[in-house]
Amino acid sequence: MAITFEHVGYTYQAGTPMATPALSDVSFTVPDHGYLAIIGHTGSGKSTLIQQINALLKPTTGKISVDDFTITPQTTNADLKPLRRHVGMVFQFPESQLFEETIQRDIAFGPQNFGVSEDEANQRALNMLETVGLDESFADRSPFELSGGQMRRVAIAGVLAMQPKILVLDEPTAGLDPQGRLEMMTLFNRLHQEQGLTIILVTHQMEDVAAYADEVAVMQAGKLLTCATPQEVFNDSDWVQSSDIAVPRAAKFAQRLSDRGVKWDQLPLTADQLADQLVQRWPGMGAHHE
Amino acid sequence: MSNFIFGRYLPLNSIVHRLDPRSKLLLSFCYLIVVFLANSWLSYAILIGFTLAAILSSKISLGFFLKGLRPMLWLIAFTVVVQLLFSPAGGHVYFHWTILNITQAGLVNSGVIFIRFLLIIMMSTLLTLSTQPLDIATGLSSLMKPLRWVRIPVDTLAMMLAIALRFVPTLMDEATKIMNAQRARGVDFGEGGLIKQAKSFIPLMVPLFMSAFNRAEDLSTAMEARGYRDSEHRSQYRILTWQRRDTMTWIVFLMVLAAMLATRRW
Amino acid sequence: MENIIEVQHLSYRYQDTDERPALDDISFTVKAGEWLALVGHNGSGKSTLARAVDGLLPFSEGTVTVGGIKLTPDTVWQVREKIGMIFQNPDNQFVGATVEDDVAFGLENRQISRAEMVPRVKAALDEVGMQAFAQREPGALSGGQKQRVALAGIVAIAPDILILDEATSMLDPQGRRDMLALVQHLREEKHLTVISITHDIDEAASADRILVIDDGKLVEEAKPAEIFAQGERLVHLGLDVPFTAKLKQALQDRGITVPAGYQTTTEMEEWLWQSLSNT
Repeated sequence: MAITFEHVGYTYQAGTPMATPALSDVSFTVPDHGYLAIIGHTGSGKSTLIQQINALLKPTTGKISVDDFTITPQTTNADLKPLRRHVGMVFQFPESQLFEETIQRDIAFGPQNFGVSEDEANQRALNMLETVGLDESFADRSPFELSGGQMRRVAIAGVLAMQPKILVLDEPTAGLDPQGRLEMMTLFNRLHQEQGLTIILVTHQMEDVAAYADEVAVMQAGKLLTCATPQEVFNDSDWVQSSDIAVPRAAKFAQRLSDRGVKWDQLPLTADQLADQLVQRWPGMGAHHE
Repeated sequence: MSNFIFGRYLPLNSIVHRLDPRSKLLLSFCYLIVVFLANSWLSYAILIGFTLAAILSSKISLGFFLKGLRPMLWLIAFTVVVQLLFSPAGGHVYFHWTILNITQAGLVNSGVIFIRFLLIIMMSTLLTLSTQPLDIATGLSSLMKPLRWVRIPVDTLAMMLAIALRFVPTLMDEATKIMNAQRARGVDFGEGGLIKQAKSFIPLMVPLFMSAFNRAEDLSTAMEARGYRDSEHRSQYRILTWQRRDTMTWIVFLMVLAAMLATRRW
Repeated sequence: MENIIEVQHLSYRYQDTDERPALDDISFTVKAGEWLALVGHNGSGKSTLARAVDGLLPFSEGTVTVGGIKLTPDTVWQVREKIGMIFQNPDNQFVGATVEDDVAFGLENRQISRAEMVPRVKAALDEVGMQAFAQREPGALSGGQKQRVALAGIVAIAPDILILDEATSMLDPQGRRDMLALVQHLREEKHLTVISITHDIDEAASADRILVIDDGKLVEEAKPAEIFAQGERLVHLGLDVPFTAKLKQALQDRGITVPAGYQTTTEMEEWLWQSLSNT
């Protein structure tokens, strides 16, 4: 499913003395099967932006299209259910949404709200447990006996069980240990590759942006500074400096070498890309060394 | 929810805001009694004058108060109507049907109830609008100190109240987050029949309680690590000081009280 | 230098019926002024260990000695006097209704007079750069700012030991960097002994020594450079893989031999530059 934002603005408590603008004039497009990363400092409007995608917050101005659905300031709540069915939202610390007595019932909760029969929802729950790397023995246990990392997997399974076409992830690896983070990001990438899910990832991890995203949107003070490929965004080092955004470690490292005269075909963003280009230049190995 | 102003704090810089919270709490309490002592139109006029003066000196606009009354309107209207229809006979009878009477006495009574209601709501709204919840808590515990002698754990109660107040915004944020997550999973809050609505709150309340318990556990560990043993053996950082403006306010209030007593029917 | 913390054969079970102990026969010492990092998976027992040292868990086997005082139910408050602890969730350790009230909390518990509290709260807030926020409520602060207030609360008490229990893990990268710089500064100035529980490679790199905890056991103890030399395996120890280790692996996969051991970014840059210029 493709997503298009056209001049979207959002103001909290609009029309009251407490009105605070959070988004202004945001326009971008994510193609079907796209992988967009959204970066920006805390308070730059990232969370407000993603809540527009399934109309948890409706725009104060502008228009959002998600496939055939259109969200405008006039959209009523009654029209939203078919949209929400297709947009899976994984919020920060999603384990806080668990509430059922058993893990299976919690995972089956979402699909049942969207009209899936109990039997089918339960079957989906079992499948999803496997997808997120937990076995069937977890099905009848209480979600509250699990470790933090396991609870998070169950919460994500609960979102995936709705079989969304779009998956919105708000810092999904916060608080996990490095192994947990790696496994989680690998899972999302697999869903993207194998099932063609469109992914929107809000993150502070530039390594993840470089490794997975097709495009990256940079937010600052409620405005979209740019939306382009990671390569294009991180390559302009003057712009990166002036906009105060972090760059992947590999890019930072490559920059230091280029300050000493090493020339890159294009700025490497990951250790692998950097190694590829180093091999090319390596004395006695490379294809084209001076 | 958003136009329900009773219990909210409006940070402004006025003499009312700067009064000692103990002063404001005691004054509001005395005012409550005074309102019920008034009985002549003139004595009410004096109280209305005092209330308006208090509101004006708080720099909070009168319109804000009136807007805030709106959610209370039904309660007031109901009480007034009951008073009007069911009051005992007396004076001229304007309307009579089975047990319902509208009499002159009823008319006067309901007018009196309306004014009392209004005055009390106005004054208590002024108290909460001009005083931070924490200051109210500090003021209350300071006023309740004498109760220590009858073995009421005033300090522990004050600590509990302060922590509860501290976590209200945190848990409200948490509730919003959980509601969003559940709405994204297809829950419609506040739609459908009563049973459906009640049911939709389970996915909100269970996680909210879990979160509150987890936070409580973390917090108690952190408090212990920071040397908290019990509430009785602690010193106080936040202190309240009685200022000249507090004394002045009480003088004004006592003068109003005297004027009101002089004009009431005995 | 003398040992400020000595832990001998410490074991702990959350419940007597638990099959596996949360802590299993752990012994180590910390020298005064040292910075020790505890690393391990979530659930490996590293937070449990830190809590045991602060007397927050009633362990039955083994001994903990802090600043020469053996930890017992009678001495627990004396021991806590020497330790300041910061926890993971910034919200769940903020007790006061405002920043200054929170900093004063520890002082109130110690029945310090108000006349003495006021300057100490102010000085502590100055130290962490939060003086301008003294009257603010926690809701108006970022996670990083809340953690700095927590640090101020500890500065006000002036303990010898600072324990950071994943204190930076819920912060954004900026907040994390600021917090780490502040801890490094305070440690120099106040001669603190620091124990930090972390997954963050930069935080672990600040340590003099790293202890790796797995399944409640102490499985490894070494200097950061030795630990980091394990490259991709670090992720199994509960640590991020340093960028230089990733690059090294990528180069080795492509047939380039990199010198053994762990390189800092500067060392790696220098070595690559030398190698590339060597035509």
